Amino acid sequence: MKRVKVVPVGMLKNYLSETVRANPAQTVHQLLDGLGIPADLVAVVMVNGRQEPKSYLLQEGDQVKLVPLVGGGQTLVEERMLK
Amino acid sequence: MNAYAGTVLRVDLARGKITKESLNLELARGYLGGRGFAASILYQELEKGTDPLGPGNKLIVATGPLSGLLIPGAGKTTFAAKSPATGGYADSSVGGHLCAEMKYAGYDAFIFEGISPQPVYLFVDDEEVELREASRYWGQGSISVEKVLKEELGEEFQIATIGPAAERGVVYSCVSHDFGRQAGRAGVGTVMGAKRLKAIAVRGTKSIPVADLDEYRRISRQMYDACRASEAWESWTRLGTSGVNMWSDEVGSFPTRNFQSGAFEKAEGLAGELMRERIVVTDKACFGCSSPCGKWSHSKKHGVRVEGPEYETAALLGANVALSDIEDVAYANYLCDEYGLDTISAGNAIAFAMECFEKGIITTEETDGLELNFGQAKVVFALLEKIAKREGIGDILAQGVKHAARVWGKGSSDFAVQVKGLEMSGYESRNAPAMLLSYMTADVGAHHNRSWAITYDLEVGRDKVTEDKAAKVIELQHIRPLFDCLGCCRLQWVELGLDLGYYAAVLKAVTGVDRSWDDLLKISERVWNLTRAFWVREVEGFGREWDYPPARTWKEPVISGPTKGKFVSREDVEKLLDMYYAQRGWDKNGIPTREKLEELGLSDLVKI
Amino acid sequence: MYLRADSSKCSGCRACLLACSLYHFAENNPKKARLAITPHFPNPGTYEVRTCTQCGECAEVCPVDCIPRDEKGAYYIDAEECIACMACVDACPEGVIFVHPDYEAPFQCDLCEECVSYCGPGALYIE
Repeated sequence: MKRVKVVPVGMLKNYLSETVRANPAQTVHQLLDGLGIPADLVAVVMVNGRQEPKSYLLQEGDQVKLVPLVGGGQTLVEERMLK
Repeated sequence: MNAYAGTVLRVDLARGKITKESLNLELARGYLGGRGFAASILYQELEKGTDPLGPGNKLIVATGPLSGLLIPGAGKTTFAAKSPATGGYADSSVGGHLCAEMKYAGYDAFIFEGISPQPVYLFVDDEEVELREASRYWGQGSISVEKVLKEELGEEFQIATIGPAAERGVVYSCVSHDFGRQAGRAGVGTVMGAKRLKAIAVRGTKSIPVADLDEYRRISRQMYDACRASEAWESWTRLGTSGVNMWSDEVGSFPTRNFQSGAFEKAEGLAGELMRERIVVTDKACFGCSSPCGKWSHSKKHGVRVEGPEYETAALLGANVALSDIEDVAYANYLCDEYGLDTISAGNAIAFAMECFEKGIITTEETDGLELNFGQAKVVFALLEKIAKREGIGDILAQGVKHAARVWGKGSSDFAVQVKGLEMSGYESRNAPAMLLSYMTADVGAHHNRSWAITYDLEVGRDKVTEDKAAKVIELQHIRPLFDCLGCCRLQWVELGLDLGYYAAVLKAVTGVDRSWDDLLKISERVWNLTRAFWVREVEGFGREWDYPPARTWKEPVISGPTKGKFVSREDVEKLLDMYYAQRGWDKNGIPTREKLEELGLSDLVKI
Repeated sequence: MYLRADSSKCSGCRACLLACSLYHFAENNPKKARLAITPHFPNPGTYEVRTCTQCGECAEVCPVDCIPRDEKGAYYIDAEECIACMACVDACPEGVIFVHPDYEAPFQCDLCEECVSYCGPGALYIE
């Protein structure tokens, strides 16, 4: 079975520090739950270069990119007030 | 002066006289450019109580020090005036190529004064500047006129136009540029129309001087490389702002049926990927942008080509009026572009009328016989035409939802979704207090671009009403509008994660003036307090009350979707304002204190 | 070696033009660029990018033979010898020999590749 490649982008690396492999035959929603990534923070799910809904059922060999709400945009409030 | 063109054009439309003035050094030092120039000029040059549509109002078109340079997205032009929609401060930023061309022609800003006796357009070709007769274009659509002017003058001319809506005084008329980009909000186009200025056409062949060419090129190189290397580049460029349509719906922030809900049961019809595959013809970039979010689309169903629909239009002329076919939204977008209407306010106005009709507050007697049901594309198209022509019900809606609620009464002001008279842009915020506070305190009225804080609500907890949320809003209100002072797009930072440090570094390289990021934020705070002071001066009794959201916020929970049942209580609204004012150094009524004005170097200028 | 353009990928940002003028003239000025973008809007809504194809017609029509090729194979106008007759400008089938009021001699692409490195969507490439 060819596994699914999952790439986190930007601030989602706070939840998933590096690219991981995951099992197919689950939805993106289930994948996010399993990885402990809050779905609300994932703005765009790209699968093999196309945007897919979070209900998308992952296929063998899929390349998944999880794009956060804000690619960068970490600002001083996070640094000063959330630590 | 490095990074600036050095000259401001002052155009007296009443007398047909154009004067070239040297750019004021103090202005550049204290306010950078763009929105900073506009705020300073409007505060200093407008007489108190100026009629927004009268000869005393001024239309400012301003570039920034980064405009036209090799910096990703250095193509943002500010249009500003006293707003006919709100009676307060207004600036609206438009992408494209106008500001770059203005600087190549040798001008940092245009200031339009008075009212022309007949329709004119401003022609600028380097040193050659003149007002030209424009009667033959009067009444024509924004896009049509741009096309004709390009054919007459040459493709190299960058053009800004207004449409028939602005000519007729629809208060939320926009300025259009580059066939589908708009300075959309708060009626800057309406002011242009009142001045009988149909268009601006600019071409320039000069160079923009910079202080340290090598350092500038070194940082520029890094900025472009970082943008292209961003992991978010692919999705952002493929989808633009439409990439978040489905997310907004999932989290219950997609304004639906006049903000009654934040989730639209047919939202998948508006999905970014569907739009890309079905109607997008090409990506369309602003000046110098290597991650183009503009999407040029072709609706075969309606036989039109249009830029967009981008997120706000999908939200306000899609879900908010319950249209679920992206091609219908594209056609509504096309109508707005050609008439010169702001899609955000127009979508709100139509949705408001539909809810009033749904509730029986208005009947076919007030609607010229139209059944104003949500989800009817033909009704949306018909209302857009009526608004632009100010016919029948369109004449009431042309003055904004705050006005329409006054006319129709029966409690409708509770759900006239606006702050300060400006209709709310596309985020339902009853379960996003930081976003709500952003709308309440934005200095043009309920617009998201000063602080897009809903992301913060989602990160730290949506129900929380805490000090850090007010702090976040203030921080964003300084960072994001700073880009409008620099004359450059913020989305490379927001969407691609381009480090903010680049901007201070490249600004230093091109201007030769060393400013830290904190120095720059201080300038942005100065501008923010100055626009607040403008409101205080221009609006009798201005204060806390003007920062309130529509009463629906606390009276009525969200009716469906993931945020169903949520609302922000009146107490929490007050708490948000208390925290915000205290952190800003403003008094309990939201007026900047003398100490704050002194700290910002505004105490001589501002007497409140 | 050729500079090629895939117009379908261009989004009209003009970073290439500015990068070109900075590289060759050390100036921020897209009117001093050595390639061209023509937008066609609103209909059909495309950008047309034109680059030098090194076809050599400029060299053929030059009355003073001042358009030789350099070591990369790029035709270039020797400004010292040029008599500014503009025959090459008129002859260029792509319209990519440029003039600017600041200079007597026209100028053209020298295959420096600077534009390619600033093109986000990858519309420009070297072949």
